Amino acid sequence: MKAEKIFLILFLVVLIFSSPFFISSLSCNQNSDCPSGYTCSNNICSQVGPRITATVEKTGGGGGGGGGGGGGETNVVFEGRAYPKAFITLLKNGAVTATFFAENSGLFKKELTGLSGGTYSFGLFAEDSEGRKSVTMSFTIGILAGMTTTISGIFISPTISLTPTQVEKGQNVDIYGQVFPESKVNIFISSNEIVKEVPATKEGKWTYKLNTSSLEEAEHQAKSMALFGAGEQSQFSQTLSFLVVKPGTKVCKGADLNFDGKVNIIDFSILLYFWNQTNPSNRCADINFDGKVNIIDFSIMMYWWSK
Amino acid sequence: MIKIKKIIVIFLFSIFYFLFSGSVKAATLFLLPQSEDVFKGDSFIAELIIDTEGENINAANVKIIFPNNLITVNDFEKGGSIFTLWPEEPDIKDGEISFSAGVPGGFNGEGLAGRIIFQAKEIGKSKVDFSEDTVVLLNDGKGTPVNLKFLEGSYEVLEKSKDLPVISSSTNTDQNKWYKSSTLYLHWDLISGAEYSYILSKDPSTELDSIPDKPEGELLWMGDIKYENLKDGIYYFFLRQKLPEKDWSGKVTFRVMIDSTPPEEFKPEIAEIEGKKYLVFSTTDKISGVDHYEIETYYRGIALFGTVPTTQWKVVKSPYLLGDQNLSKIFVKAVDKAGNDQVSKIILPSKPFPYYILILGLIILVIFWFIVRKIRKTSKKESSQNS
Repeated sequence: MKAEKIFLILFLVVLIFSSPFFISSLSCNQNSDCPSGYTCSNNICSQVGPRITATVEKTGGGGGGGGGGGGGETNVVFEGRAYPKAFITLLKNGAVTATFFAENSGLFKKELTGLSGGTYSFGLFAEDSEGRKSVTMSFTIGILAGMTTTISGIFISPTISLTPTQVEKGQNVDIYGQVFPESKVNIFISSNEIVKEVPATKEGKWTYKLNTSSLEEAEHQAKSMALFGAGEQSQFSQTLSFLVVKPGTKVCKGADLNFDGKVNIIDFSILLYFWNQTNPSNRCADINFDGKVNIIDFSIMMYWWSK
Repeated sequence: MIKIKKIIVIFLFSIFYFLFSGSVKAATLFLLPQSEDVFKGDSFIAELIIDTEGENINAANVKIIFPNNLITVNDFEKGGSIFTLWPEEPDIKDGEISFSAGVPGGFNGEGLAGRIIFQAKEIGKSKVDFSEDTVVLLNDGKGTPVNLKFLEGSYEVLEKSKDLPVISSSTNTDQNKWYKSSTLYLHWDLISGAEYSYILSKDPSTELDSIPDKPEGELLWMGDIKYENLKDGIYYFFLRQKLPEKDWSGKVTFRVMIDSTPPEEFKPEIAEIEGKKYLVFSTTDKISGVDHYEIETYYRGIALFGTVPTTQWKVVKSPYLLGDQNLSKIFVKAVDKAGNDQVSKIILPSKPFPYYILILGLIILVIFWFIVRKIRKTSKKESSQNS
């Protein structure tokens, strides 16, 4: 009897400790503090990634009405959170199938009708009122014929911009964008593994002033992710890079390699001087800071060429 | 009828991949003509065309592969290209042509990237294709690569029949060269009793009819043909021969390339690169392409002696190192493949003249003159006192 009791207690302990309820109340400082499948956000372990829910019900309905019956249409409804008046593009199997606007509240709902049953890959991305595009959220789902499948919980990730892309150590970098109104935006800065949280306004705008005093003189990345209510979470946004330089160093001016206010044959000549070099001594010649002076830098220069 | 509500909760964490929401259009690179029959020993042109399919592109890194046991490349010509700047000039080696080029502000549409002059070396079917390394970038300020489609070219090298007439020209001796003159003389040896059908066309795919041609006029035809007032461009003279009792022969081609227009006007610039002074220049030629640049420099001498060129015209590349030479002006000449030239002048800023030295010198002279005068006065007084 005693052995059975001990076994039962042990069993219950294991059950409790492995339950999501328990895990999601575990505190943490970084992702490695949490079990696999969970990430550390707001110092609490939570399940990875956004959760999308699909519910299926038979199409048609409402009273008897109208002769015949049999199969109704096959429809898919997409519901979720974006930004106020965001321009949303819906992709079906890689091709644009619908575009529509989110409401002022940031919520959106779109119905696709007349589909056939089968497996589809859907993608959604939003463009905010300042022209920035979110990353595309993609998922594959099997649609049952004659049924209406409602896919909800689609939480579009925030849009992100930062300025300036080069900053002297100690100065600020402004990181900002749009997101579902009144959600919380988590900003992740690496290589220093900094996480900051900012609230979004009622208009769906978020902004953060990052002071670079604590960052090394190197390239860093920033990305963001939104949280809303009790556990709703978006994907990560795009990752943007910025460079922290020693105070007093000359900051590069894009394709204007000689800082004369023009992008012309002289800048092209300088680019050619460092052509194909990795990490050139004139850092500015590597216009996109990818470590190489190549055709991509040349293309950027062609874009900015003075008229 | 009755609503059946099934609740299926699906957790879709599996793969969240990033789809680029851009267009699914692809730009196409191809050769024109895409296929052709050529005779062993002849040269032929394949134009490299890009169709951007609605995209705005501004740079490309192209690598073309060809079987150099069957065909070789005489030249890759940039004349008339949509690209105006070439970070990597066309390089031809071992069955490969490669280059990097771009155009400020981008290009949208179908246009000529360059002209390949092939030489048919050995009999066989040669495929000319694009390497997977080839990239074309969008004019979006980020250098995003565009989706690319390639169409390969196919050129069959055939044995040239020895019965075919051989065409020559006293004005355009070499089919692979560009000439300035708008008058063209062609010649082939006539065979007694034979008939000829010929045409001069800008279209390399022109077909000849079976109606015999002969130059108009009263003079006896000795196998000479003259064309005058030809506009710039590439012409193909096609000729077929019908010997007595025989069928019309295959087509013989003679290519004529005419360019009488100089390169575009341009303005050289002085640039400081890594602490050194350089002269930087670039221009384009719409027909045959820029062949080379030459410069002539003038030394900054005192005006009394006039200005003479320090150096005679010499071939240089951009950027040209000026160093510490005290030059007053430089002439830069762009020469195209037909020998037409466009000269541009640049005046170099002079070092400020040290006027203070002149003023100082003048003051010293004046003081010296006063001192001399004073000494003279004093010595005169003394001598008059003594006498």
